[in-house]
Amino acid sequence: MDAVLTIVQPAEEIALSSSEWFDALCHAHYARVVGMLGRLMGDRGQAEEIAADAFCKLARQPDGAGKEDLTAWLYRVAINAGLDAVRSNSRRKRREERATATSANSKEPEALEWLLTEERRERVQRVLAALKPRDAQMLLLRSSGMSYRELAETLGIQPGSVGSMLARAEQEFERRYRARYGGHL
Amino acid sequence: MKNCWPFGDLRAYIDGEMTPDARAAIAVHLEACPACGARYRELTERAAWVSAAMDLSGNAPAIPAARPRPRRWLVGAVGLAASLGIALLLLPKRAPERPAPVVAKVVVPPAPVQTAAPAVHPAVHHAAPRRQDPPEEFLRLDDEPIETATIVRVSAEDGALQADLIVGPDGRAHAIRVVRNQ
Repeated sequence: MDAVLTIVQPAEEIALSSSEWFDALCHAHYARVVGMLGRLMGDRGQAEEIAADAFCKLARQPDGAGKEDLTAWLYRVAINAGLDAVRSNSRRKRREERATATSANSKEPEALEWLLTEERRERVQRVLAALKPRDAQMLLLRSSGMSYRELAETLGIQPGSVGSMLARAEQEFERRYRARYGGHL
Repeated sequence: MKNCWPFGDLRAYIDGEMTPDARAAIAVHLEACPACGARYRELTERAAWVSAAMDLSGNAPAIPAARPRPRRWLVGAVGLAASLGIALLLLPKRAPERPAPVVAKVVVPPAPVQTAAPAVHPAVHHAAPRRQDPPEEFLRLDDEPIETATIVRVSAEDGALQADLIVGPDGRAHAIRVVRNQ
């Protein structure tokens, strides 16, 4: 055969993961990472973007590190990115603009109700963003229904210390929230 | 009082996360110890309050099944590709049929995600929509680990024979698969 091989299609370049750890982590944790970020952001689409980005970074990790380390690492990267996004107020501004438009165009009580809900949610998000990332992570993951065993695995801590870490995170959240906004949610 | 429980254990008790034995012991202790009883109530109230706050925060549903939904993975795959600066080409499947004066002609991969996915990125593979005729698996040409690579489609014999090559940064092909014509 007179094989003349010609490069005909320049390039998709992708990160290739030559072992199975990446696949396993994806299956075990993608939905959870999205869930955690969704609770933080209140926006599923943005949560998915950030999660995809975190998995992207994960794919570039050398697989020499232990799996448990990588799990904790993945969640840490994801929560940090999520908290950064909450802190940057560009998105909030957009929402405020939308909210203004909504309230200007509508006098219905639902619009007001929606605004109040948004405000309450943003308060919670702001307080979460002011916590240590690990505390925020703990609260978000617990509220999404993870067991203590899963929390320990995900955060890379001993199962026996989940209770005290959770209690401290809750205390810190409440203290900061009350200092800013009083006791009413 | 003796045998008071640490607050972390009380917190775990509230969530039903202590062993049955410890649960029974704590329950007995809480009856007898006003200090622990007060602490228990404080922890319970705070947990409920924070839980209500968390429910305000996100409107995303609770954790779904552990397995990611395929369509989510398409998003992930696109994000993966985009973040590495790849232009995804969404072009027709087949090069137009025409007399080709040159030996090889440009062939466009049917769908980039699929082209890239099956052998090298199992997670994406699951996401790819099912086709009647799944592409061949890549055949590894060596045992070297592949971290980043370029997938190149080549053709010979005027396009009658096509293959995808995984070419590493050193320019060597690490894997190959034959592309069957539809």
